[in-house]
Amino acid sequence: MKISVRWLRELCPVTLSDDEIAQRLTLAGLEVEGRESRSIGPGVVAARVVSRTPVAGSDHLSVCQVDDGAGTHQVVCGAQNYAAGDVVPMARPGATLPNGMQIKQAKLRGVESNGMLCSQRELGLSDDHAGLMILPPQTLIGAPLGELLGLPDTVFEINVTPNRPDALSHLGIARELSALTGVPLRLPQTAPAGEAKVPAHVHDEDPERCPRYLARVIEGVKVGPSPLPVQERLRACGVRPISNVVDATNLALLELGHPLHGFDLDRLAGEKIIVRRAAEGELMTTLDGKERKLSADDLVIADAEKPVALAGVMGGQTSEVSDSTTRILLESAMFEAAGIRRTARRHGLHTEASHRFERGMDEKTAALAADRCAELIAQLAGGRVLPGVIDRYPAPLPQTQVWVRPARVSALLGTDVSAREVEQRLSSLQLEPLDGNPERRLWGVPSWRRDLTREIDCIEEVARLRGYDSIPIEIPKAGVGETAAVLPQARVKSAARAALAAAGCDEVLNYSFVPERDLLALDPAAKPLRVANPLTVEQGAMRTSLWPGLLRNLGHNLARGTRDLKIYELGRIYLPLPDPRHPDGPLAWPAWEPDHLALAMTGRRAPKGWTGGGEAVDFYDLKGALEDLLEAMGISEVAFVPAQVAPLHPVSASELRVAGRRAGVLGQLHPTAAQHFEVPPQTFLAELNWQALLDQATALHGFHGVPKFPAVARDLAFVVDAAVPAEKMLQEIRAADGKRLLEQVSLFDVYRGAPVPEGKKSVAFGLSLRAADRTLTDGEADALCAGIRDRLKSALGAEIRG
Amino acid sequence: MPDVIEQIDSLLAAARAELAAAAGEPHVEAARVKYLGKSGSLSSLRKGMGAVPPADRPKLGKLVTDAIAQLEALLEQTRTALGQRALQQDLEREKLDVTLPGRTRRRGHRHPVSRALDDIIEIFARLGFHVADGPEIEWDLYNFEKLGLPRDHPARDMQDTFYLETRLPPPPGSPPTRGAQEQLLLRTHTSPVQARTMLGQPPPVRIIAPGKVYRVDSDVTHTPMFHQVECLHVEKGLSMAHLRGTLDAFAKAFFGPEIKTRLRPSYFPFTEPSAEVDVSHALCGGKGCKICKGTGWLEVLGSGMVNPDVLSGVGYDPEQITGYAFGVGIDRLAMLRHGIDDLRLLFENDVRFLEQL
Repeated sequence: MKISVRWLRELCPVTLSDDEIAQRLTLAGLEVEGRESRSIGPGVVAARVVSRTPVAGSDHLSVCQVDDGAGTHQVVCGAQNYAAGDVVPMARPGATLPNGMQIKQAKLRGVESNGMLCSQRELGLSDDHAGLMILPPQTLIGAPLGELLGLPDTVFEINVTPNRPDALSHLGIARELSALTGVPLRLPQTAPAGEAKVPAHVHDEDPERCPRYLARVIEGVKVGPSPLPVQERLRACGVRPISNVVDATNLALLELGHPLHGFDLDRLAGEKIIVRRAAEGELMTTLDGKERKLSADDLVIADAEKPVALAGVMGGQTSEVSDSTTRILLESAMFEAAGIRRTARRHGLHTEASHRFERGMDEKTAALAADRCAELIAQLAGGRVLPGVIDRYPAPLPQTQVWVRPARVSALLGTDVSAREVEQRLSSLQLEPLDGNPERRLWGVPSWRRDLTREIDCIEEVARLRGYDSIPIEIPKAGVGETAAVLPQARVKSAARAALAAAGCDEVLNYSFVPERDLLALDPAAKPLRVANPLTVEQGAMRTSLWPGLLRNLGHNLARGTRDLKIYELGRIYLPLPDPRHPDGPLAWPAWEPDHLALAMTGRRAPKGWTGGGEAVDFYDLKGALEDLLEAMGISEVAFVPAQVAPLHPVSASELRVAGRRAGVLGQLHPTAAQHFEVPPQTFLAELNWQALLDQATALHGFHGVPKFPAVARDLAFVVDAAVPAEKMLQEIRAADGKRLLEQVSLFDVYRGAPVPEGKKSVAFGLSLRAADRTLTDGEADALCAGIRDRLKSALGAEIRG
Repeated sequence: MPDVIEQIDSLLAAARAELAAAAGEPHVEAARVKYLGKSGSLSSLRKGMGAVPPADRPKLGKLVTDAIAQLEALLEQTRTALGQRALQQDLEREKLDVTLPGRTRRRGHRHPVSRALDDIIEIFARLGFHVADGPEIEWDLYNFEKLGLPRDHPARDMQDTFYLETRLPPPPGSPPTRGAQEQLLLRTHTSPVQARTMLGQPPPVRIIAPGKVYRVDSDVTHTPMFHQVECLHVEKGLSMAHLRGTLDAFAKAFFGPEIKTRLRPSYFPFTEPSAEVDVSHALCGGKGCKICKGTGWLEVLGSGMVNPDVLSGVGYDPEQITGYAFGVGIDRLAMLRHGIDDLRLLFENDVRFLEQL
């Protein structure tokens, strides 16, 4: 909230500088987030427009003769909202406006101008730029405007946390400042109520929602504008001046923090106030001109006939104070927080009043505010405050009492705080010692501090006031048997990330919510969890696959001219199923959120260089990256099997199996999906179930010894039907190795074309044969090769080549 | 006799001159044949020995033999020199342009947020904290109620919540709702992991919970999804001094040893006392600049002592057990660390951005 420092100093006359006040408040938890300095130099004075005539040839400029007390000057002005006789601010030549503008003698349209008539915005007073600022007619001509307004002033923007509704006022901040500095408060003047009859009736039909309702009456008021310093004070706090009566309620609100409302008593049917629930569907028009259909949960202030205010949120139009109002019924009430919150939400209203009532107001301050506001109305609008008061307060709240142990304060703050200091700090916040002894004392909490209900709340107050800097720095001891454990899973994860980086993949992070149409483009059967209140439809569905995000990333980069892309994401997807890892009980996860790892590649394998490169990525780049990844994770039982995967091109769609179980899918993007995502058809994708990988990962490998005997190398090439998968041939080769001599098989060539017959292919393997316990003879090697040859021939019809 | 000596000398001189001018092996061979071949000049001298008086023969013989030896050494020297010259020439010819670019493989890059996350996990592992996990799709009970944020609490405004369309029967202990089913929500902070962890085990608890969180907010300084790490330590005898100690150790490990921390009173429903934590701004050395709004301090996280109501809500005795907790926005930390000035860059995943980090 906005706090005028000048006003604050009236309530707590400290001698600190503005900077020091800001620092003290910030370190006590009332963070000064922003500052505005309001001042107007002596060159801007009140001046009377003597005459106004249009400038020839201009559709808006006027030439005015203006009296600034020292003489009459000619000034050209473009505003339209004034007439001869009005008093307005004039900046004399040589003056500097708060926005830095220097006023000089100048000619506009050939007409000499000796100064400038100013709007509120030009003077830095508000955003109002509708025309000149019009000053009251009785303003002293020639007086510097800054003095007339009560400037200079500094305005703090203070971030008041939701637990401190008591600090949403100048008095509230002044109380803090007083507690921090020991400078006593100066409470403002009030019109205390006496015993007398009041010409109005109040019925509180819902004391639960309205625990207290006070009304006072002021007669003989004359509604008009407030004096300049009052207007300035309101503007400084971001409130638009309206009329003296409304301004008085706002002034009291800003000063004491309690929302007030003034009704035109003559427009209240039956001179009656009834606090009641609205009838379901009942209509009323609020001050903002909107007709509202009320709910039976809304609390209203009604007269004998109809609702006249949405209680604690906004007044109604029918009883609004107008120029002809002479009798005011001033309401100062206390409404229950949750109810106000519901009503404000239901009607989409957030007002100064609802903001405060939602946070909880103070029933005692309500009385003080009524008396203060009555006094202010009489001061600003004349009239007479009737001495009586109507006070419906059937169940006064008892004082909150809290036991506080200084030893507990010390234990929690980690530093010794004496009993004497605890007492001094709590007393400075106007808590009263009621009972007990220095080890344990009972404190009475002032009514405005509804947040202090437990010992811990009081401990926080002591800590806050003495400053958190006084708390020492201590590293907690390691617990017995605790180790700074890095889980093996974390090791595997970093090994995987390193492998992906080595494969040239950049890591991306995407929002968990995606456009539902993106999910459907990949899987028409997708049934994602939907966000009920998304910011845009683009964020409407919880992802069931990482692919939409990655494909959008490719599109984003391609559109910006980056063509070679390899990216991956490791993150959760969200499925509307029970989570098998946390199946039952109250701590069950409401949805299944498995981690997935996805890769996407498009463009060139590597940019063209003088040593080569420039080839487009293909399926085997993707597969190779996965093989590197799986190796880095220590996963050995791996198979790639052709499979049907909806959004993938049938040419290469396949499934990764780890230890015989499906762990993911990979392949080229289906052309239809490529079109949807506006990416090239040569886009390759994989998505893996991270948990399935982790289950088979090996963080550390065992050592198997270095071979003691030499290996024998043999190459074998076969001609086989083109449709036979390489994996099948490898299986047969291994199956032929009954004596386990085959240490390694590498497939080093695949060839189709002459002289290999049509429909066939030549596949070449390099074999490494080794026995653990002896040097292999050529005879043994030859025998194994012959066995392989025979097996491939009988099983696959493969002929040895060459 | 003097004639012969003269003859030898002149032959040697001639051979030296020829070999000095030899450009390659053929020249050397030609010279060998010419002087030492069967009918070479020096060989002929030996053959003409018959015409020399017998008394002079041994002397002359020796002269010729010496000359032959000299010439043979010279031939060898020349061959070696020529060989070396040829090698030198070959090496010169094969010389590479070392300024041509090397054969590199482009490495991928980590996302700055996931990297910061990993660093944070590692730092806390050293401080004895375990990683705890929780769902992002949550119940009101764990996201709000168990953390001291009942329905209609004004502090719920600080965290505008995304809800899912899905309704399910809520876990026991949930506040009453209309009907038997409750709308699921996207957690607004990592704090529900606090509640879940404490409900699942007795003290001591020493965890961090990293992950994604969601709030209905999108502007220059907010994204609807962001990352947090929650830290919770609950045990006998913990005080605010331990909170400060842990925070200070973390900030120094993450930003650098010269970093200072400052606690400022604040309010969070699930801690009391609560504190905002500022770190001194490394870029300006705490002198104050535009990024830190001239204060020299940057607000990086919210913290506090675990509210006794939260402890008793999970069945712990707040008279016996105390604890501290804090939540860090990782995205902001990553931005500060790398000097990233635009939050939106983090989720655009522009490779030109990623490859700089």
